[in-house]
Amino acid sequence: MSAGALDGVSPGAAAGGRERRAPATGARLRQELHLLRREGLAPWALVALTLLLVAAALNGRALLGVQARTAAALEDEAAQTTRALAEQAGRGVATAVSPGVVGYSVLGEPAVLPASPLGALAIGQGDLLPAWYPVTARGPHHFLARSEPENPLRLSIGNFDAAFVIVWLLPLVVIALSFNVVSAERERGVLAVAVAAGASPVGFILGKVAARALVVFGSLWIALLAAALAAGVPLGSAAGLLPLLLWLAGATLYGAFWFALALFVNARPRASDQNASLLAGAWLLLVILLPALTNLAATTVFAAPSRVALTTELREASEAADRAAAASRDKYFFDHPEMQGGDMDRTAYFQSVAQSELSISEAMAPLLAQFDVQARRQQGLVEVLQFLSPGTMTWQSLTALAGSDGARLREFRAQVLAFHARWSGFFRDPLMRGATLTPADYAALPQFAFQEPPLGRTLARALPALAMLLALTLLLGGIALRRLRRFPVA
Amino acid sequence: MNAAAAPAVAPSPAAGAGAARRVAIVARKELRGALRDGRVLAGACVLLLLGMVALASAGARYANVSRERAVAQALIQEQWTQQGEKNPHSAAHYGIYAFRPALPLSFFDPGVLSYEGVSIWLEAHKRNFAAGRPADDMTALARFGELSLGFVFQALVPLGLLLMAYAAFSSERESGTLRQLLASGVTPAQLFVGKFLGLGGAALLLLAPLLLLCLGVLVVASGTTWLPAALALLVAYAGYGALVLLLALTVSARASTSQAALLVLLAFWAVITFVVPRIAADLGRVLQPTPTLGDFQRGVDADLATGLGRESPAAQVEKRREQLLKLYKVEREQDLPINFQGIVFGIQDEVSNAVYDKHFGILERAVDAQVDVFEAATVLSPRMALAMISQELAGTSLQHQRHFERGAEAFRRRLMDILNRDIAMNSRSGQADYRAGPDLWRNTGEYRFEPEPLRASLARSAAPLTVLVLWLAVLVGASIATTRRLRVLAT
Repeated sequence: MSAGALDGVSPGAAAGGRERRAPATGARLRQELHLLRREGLAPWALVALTLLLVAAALNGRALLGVQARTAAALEDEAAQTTRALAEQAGRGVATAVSPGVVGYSVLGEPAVLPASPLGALAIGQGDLLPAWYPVTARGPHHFLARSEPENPLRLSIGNFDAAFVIVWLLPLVVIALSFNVVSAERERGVLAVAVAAGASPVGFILGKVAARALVVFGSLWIALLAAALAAGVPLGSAAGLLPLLLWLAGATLYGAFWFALALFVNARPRASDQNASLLAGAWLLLVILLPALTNLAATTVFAAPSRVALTTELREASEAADRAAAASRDKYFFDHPEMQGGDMDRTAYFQSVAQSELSISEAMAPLLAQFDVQARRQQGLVEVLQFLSPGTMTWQSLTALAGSDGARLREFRAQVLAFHARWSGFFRDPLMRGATLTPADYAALPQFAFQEPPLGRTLARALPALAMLLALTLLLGGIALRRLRRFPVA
Repeated sequence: MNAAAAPAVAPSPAAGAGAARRVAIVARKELRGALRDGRVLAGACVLLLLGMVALASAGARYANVSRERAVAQALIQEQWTQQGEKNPHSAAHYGIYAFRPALPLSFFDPGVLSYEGVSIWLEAHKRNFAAGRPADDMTALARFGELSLGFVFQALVPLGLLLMAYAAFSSERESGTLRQLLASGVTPAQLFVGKFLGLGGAALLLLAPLLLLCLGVLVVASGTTWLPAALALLVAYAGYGALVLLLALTVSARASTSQAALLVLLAFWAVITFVVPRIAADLGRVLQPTPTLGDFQRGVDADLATGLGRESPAAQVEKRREQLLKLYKVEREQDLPINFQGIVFGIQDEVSNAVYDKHFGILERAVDAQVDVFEAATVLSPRMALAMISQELAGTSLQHQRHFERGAEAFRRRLMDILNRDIAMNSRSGQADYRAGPDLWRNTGEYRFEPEPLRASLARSAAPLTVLVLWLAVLVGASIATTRRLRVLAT
């Protein structure tokens, strides 16, 4: 190794020479872009990213489309049933005025989670956890466990959405373009020639990185904008535009992190193929292994209660309620000996149903709440452990901004449970009083409307991760540049 | 053009023993080189560590789940037999639960288990979906993929093989040793086979502790019942490993530089391991969406109202009543020696069974069409073929879940038949206060899960197995073609 370590340009000289070097930097950038174009990498990056992101966005939109159509059909159906019942109640039809019959066997309200503006860009848990619950006056255990029939093979593989393309594939594009950004020049002797011709090694390398970053980020922004259009993101509204801008920022920071990492790896005198192996290893660790290990840690430390035990508990509670109902039936017949041998009257029957449902719900509520408690703890741990991996951080932020993370879906479930309490009370109270329903009652039926959690809470989940990405990028980039200043050029 | 074709050495009978010796020398050198390489050893240590983490977590989960489900199944059976005196139809509505027991090899490859319900409520008139998907209670990060032994061997070990082998030819060419080697009388084919055996042997040696540990855990946990399936798994994974190694050596022999070889191999690995599966799985859904729960329920309700046959359920009941009245030569239902309500329940169940068969069939066909798309994509990604074989042999595939669901449904139908018959035979029409007791509950039998025999799994693996063999065949052909025209000098 003939050439020793090369001192970088001293800060004073750099400041003084800025004016004179500025056009040279611009020319170098243009030249680098020209070289990239000749290698065919730039157009390739643009086309690949755009195609993948748009395809992913269309895929996400197709999934949300099915959910939206389903929700609309359900709401339509419920509205029709309500209108018909109200009309029958006006005519005094016995089943339509009975709060027991209507609440406990005829009418339900589909509580629907509206798609969020960026929902199609990150499906997250959206194809796993329900986007609607059929709420009736019966206990929540009837609807909480429901799920759409799905292909489990597909679920186990994961979604092809824009978040996947960014978190998993964008780093590969960055790595492919920059794994040898310094080492190749050194191997070909170009760096030594450039330095001999008066270029600063750091400036020369930064020029190469800048050209690549320009290509990748330019492609990324165009592709993401195309994907947002394909996904039907409402760009005209703040609710659509602000998260999208944060998405762009997050994706850019994430890409910048990978550039910084590539530069960091290049800042040691290693062969290009070793750099490529190291970066592939880093990708595997940060994008695949650490997220999987984080999930494993969260679900092991805060294991969810057993669904199997829940099943047997539910059965115990149902049996206890049935026994109580049988006892109340006996009491009823004791009080009404004239009814012995016949059916109980409708009101008494549904009163006993309502009582059973209430006691089962009360027995199950603490058990069901335990699932939520553990889910929150898991989420809390993930929010700490995410800082281990830029892949996890970015994915968490992107899904949070898209409104398809577990937090929004759990918020939805909590609101549905609160709504269920109002809905079932609406029927149980008149039922227990022995009152009947009137058309006015139908007009006053509780309506479910999801209250979006305040934007601040979403930002509070997304921004720390983005800040951390920025800090990591600056740290790695800074170390790399310091090392490059004292770097052998040949 | 300074790339020269390798001298074609005509194989002569006398050279046979010498050829084997030369292959052995090359293999030994590669084996030693790999085992002395600090990076290879470090990589192997990381793999072993990850494998142990996966083994420990999956082993603990398996032990936990199998105990819990066995206890729950026993508890449910006890609740059933001790439900006290009831009308059998009340008992039918009370129903029973079927729990899917954990199969031992699920510790190796959990397959789709996290995304399938573990229990089915078997009740009157209705076929329910399996409920309680474990993934519903995991963090969203589970969608990144679970860290399982299957994943370690499907994704990480192949990466290790690529990194071990990408420079096998190209670096020898770059440093000029390739020319010396060939000049010493080794043919390109002997060199290729030697490198294949040496590197493959090194990988096997390094992974042996983990493999033996897995086999040991399996035997301790479940005896030798699952050993044949485990050996079949081993063969499939070894085949995949050979495929990856062949590919890496072939690319290394053809690439202009080590760097180019590495880039091509890494890109291929990332695409077939992570990208193609997701695109194929979602493409299936786009082409053939699964019906929503709403569609399913509406279809079932509509068909239950009218029945599927030419006769409506009500007409069938009426016809049977006429037949019975004629048979017993009585005028009124109350005079029959049986309870006609039991017969009515039976007819209702026949109708609903046919309706549920139809609609579960629609659902299953939609999922099958999606799986077909996925299976077609295995042509592009041998890793997907391996994943499908692995799930089948481990007993954790979609089809194994269907086997559980169908078994549970068959049990439900038998149970309902017994209860309906009891009403019909042991009470009289209009006798609403008929009660059966523990004798009947004990005679309804117990739900037991029977795992499918290995040959069923093997039969279903035929297509992905064929794909894997085809990939192997193509790569063997490609490697032969490559060694025939091996470039000796770097450009």
